[in-house]
Amino acid sequence: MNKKLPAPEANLPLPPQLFHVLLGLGEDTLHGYGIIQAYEALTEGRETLLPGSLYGTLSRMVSAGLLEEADPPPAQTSGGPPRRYYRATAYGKAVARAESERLERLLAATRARKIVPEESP
Amino acid sequence: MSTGKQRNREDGPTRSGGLGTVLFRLALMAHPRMWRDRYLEEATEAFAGGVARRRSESGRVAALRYALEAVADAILSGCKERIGARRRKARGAKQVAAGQLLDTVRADLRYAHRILLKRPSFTLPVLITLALGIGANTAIFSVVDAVILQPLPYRDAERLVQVREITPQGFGFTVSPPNFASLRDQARSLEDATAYRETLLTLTGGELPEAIWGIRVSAGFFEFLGAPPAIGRSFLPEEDEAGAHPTVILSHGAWQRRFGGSPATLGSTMVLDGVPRTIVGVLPRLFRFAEGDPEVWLPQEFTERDVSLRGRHFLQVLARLRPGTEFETALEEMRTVWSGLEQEYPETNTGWGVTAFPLLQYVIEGARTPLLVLLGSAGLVLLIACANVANLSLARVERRGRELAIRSALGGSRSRLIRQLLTEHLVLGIMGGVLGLGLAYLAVDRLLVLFQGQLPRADAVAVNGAVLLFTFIVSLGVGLLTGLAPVVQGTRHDLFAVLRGTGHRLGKAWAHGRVRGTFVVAEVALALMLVMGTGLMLNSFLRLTRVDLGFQKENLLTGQISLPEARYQTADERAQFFQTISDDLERHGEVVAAAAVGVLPLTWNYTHVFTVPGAREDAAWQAEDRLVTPGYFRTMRIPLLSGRGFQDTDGADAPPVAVVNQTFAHQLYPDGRAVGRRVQFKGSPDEESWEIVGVVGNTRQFGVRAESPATLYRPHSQINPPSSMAVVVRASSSPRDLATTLRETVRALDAALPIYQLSTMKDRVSDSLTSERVMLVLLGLFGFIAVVLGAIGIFGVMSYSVSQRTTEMGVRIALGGAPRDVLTMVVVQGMKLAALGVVLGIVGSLALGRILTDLLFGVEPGDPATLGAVTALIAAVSLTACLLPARRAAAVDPAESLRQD
Repeated sequence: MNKKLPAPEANLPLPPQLFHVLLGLGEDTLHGYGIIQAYEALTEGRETLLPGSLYGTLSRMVSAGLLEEADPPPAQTSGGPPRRYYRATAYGKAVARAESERLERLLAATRARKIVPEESP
Repeated sequence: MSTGKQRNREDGPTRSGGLGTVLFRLALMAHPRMWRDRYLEEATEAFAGGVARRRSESGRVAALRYALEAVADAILSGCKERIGARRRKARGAKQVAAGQLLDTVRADLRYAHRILLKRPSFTLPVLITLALGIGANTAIFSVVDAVILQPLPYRDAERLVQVREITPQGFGFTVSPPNFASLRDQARSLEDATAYRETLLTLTGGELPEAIWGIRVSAGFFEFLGAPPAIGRSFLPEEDEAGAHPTVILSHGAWQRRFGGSPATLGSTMVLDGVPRTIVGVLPRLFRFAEGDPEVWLPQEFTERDVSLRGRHFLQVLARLRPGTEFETALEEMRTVWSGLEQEYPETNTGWGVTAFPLLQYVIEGARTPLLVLLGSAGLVLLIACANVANLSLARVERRGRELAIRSALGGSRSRLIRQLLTEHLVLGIMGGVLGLGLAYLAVDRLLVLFQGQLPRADAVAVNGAVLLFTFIVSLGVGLLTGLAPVVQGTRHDLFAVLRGTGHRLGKAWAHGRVRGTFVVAEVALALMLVMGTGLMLNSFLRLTRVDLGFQKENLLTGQISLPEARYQTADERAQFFQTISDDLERHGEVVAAAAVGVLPLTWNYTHVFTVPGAREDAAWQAEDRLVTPGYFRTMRIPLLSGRGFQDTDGADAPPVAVVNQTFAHQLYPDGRAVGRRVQFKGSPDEESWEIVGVVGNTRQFGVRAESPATLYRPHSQINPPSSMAVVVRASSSPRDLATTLRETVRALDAALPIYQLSTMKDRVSDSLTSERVMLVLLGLFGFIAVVLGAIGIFGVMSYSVSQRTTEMGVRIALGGAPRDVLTMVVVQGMKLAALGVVLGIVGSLALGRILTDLLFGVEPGDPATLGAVTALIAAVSLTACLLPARRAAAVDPAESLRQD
């Protein structure tokens, strides 16, 4: 990846699906279905990523420098179709961080407007 | 950029997993091929995992919901990928903002999706209806595509023509070798021509002798079609003539089945008809020839006699037009060649003409009309389904009136609302299409089974790219068609009336009623047309089964025996064999009678031309020539009308005698008295004259439909009998039990002889009606669906109308109207619509009936009896569908109904 990447903030607001993928990945190296499972676990099954659109998104995220393809973790060479593994690049993590901060600020604003009640302890 | 590692997509273990997975994989077809190559297996695995997890954790409904959502997502993102890929190609890297419009569409789609999932009571019946309609169309289209639309799998197939001679009586006929040679030498408009003929062979060397199908071809035949052998060589020019070393080429299938696909097969021998032949080649795996898939291919090996006699016609001829040559021009030139031949060889060619057909037309002859009729009928079913769905949608849009009104009050523009409603219907159409595709996928195989191998090019039938495209377009069309009325009605709401909550109770309801009424009228009309088609097919099928065949088909067992010429060289040996087998069979207690015949009724033709001394000067007549053993008429129970039948004394040394059928007698002799007259055969060396000693009843020869042709019977022992004859055995009870007896009797005479095509005459007759039966079953199915959908349509509209007018009914009853009058009022209202539909349907049937003319037998397309019965049926169904809501209307409690408002 030798082209110059724009500042992380230039990607904001990040399309939700991209954000969800970065959330699902975290610090791990996962294949597509692994990302779906991780994201579903994270949201306690309330949200999901659909397989039909996910793989195209992953490939675009690799092109945009948010993700990189990685070798499978040594423990996971079991059966199933050949899988591609992904992990977030440093740039991808920076973008995810920038998006979370943006959302944080938005949430604070909604609280100020009392649309959402203050978080109870 | 991502590194494109090579992945093998065959080795995933996720191929299993039900209809859902099949549908999902089909939906992924929306993605570009590159995407599928990389991700298909992974995505399928993720989908299967998602479905499985939901089923175990949240139950079937959640799993179904997820599956539908994932399928829709796969289709949408696939379209997006495709568009994206095209844009990237067109505009390099300028891709970032490109997907924005699509994102809005996507938002619409997501919303549509949610709305639809929220109302399963609406979505489910609609999806089932559309899936049936689209599935039927997809299944039939996949057959139409493979049989009619795809070009034949040969080189420059569109320039190939089948050449046939025309007999002096005007029938299509095979070509004689010398005429073929003249055609090839003289016709400038032809680039090339080749010849073939089918043949039945006995294969020995295995445990049991076996009859196999083969084709003899001229040198260069495979190159002509653009399919030279995959292994080994083609036939050489010298193999066109007898005397060359005997060779054979195998089909790929035969090579696999009989030789395990071993490369060592080349050079080994195969004993066919007692002649050891060297295997010199194997054809490509995908090679199919128009006439089915014969196992072995032999060179022509023409004898001196074959190439010298212009009067012996036995070749099928294929020709390729020169590039740029019009078909008509080529045909005209061929006709010129034939008139030249007529001048040059008046002895053999007087009266003979030539004709040609584009090869595809020749191959699928007879299948075209039935398939197109089926496709049209499936189309009618889909239209009825659309009308029903549109009606359901109309009702739903009215129920959603409030939501739509609020949306427009909040600033949703009319166009935005239209887009939303249309999107919902497109989603419905696509989902129906995906389900229909699944149904078609399952139905196509069963459909082909129904045809019992009698459909040309059936092996090419598949759900392929063209079929997917067809289904996609149909699905979009269905979406638009079903969405139109709801869109128009749904966005025309009187906002304030709706918000007041009185909007669609009064006033507007009638306007909507009219639209609905129109749909009902259309449904009834279309259903009547379909049922009329079914009725006509049923009527003609019943007539076909009742046709007097001229013989008794019950309790008859038939089979074919071919004597290898190497072991049965003389005419006497062959004649003796068939006589002995008939006699031996008759010795069994359960056998009433047995005989042999050259060609069984309802199979193929074996036509000869002959002259009648003393008859009209120019008469060169054509008749079916049947060689029989003396017991034939007795075994078949063909009645003797005058004179005598054959006797054992009509042997080789006795004076030649013949028996003719009624048609023959009447065509040749105006007084119908044929006994005692003589006939002579033309163009063959055995030009002795034959005395007619008897006249028998007519029998159908070319299938149940065709009138009996002029037929002449001769004792098999008085001519050079063919090496292959059919044996017919009349049993005292079930003929099937005789199969073993027949086999054992043959084996006792000659253990190396196969008997094949063993079947009862009843089955043969039934098989000959296969295509009629398929038409009847499918049209019956379509007609049934049409009637059910039509009834649901009437019922739905009348129920709706009643529910909208509950208040009115209540008032009527409260004011002293008898419930009976209310009932009558509703029924009359519904039946008015039905009656209009019936009238339009009758008009439509009469207008379109002509299409069926070729398929019908003994019934006119506008047959009044059928039309009457069908009309009565539709009227009865309509009445029932009206009565149910009418009775509810009559039972309205006035107090209750007035309280509602």
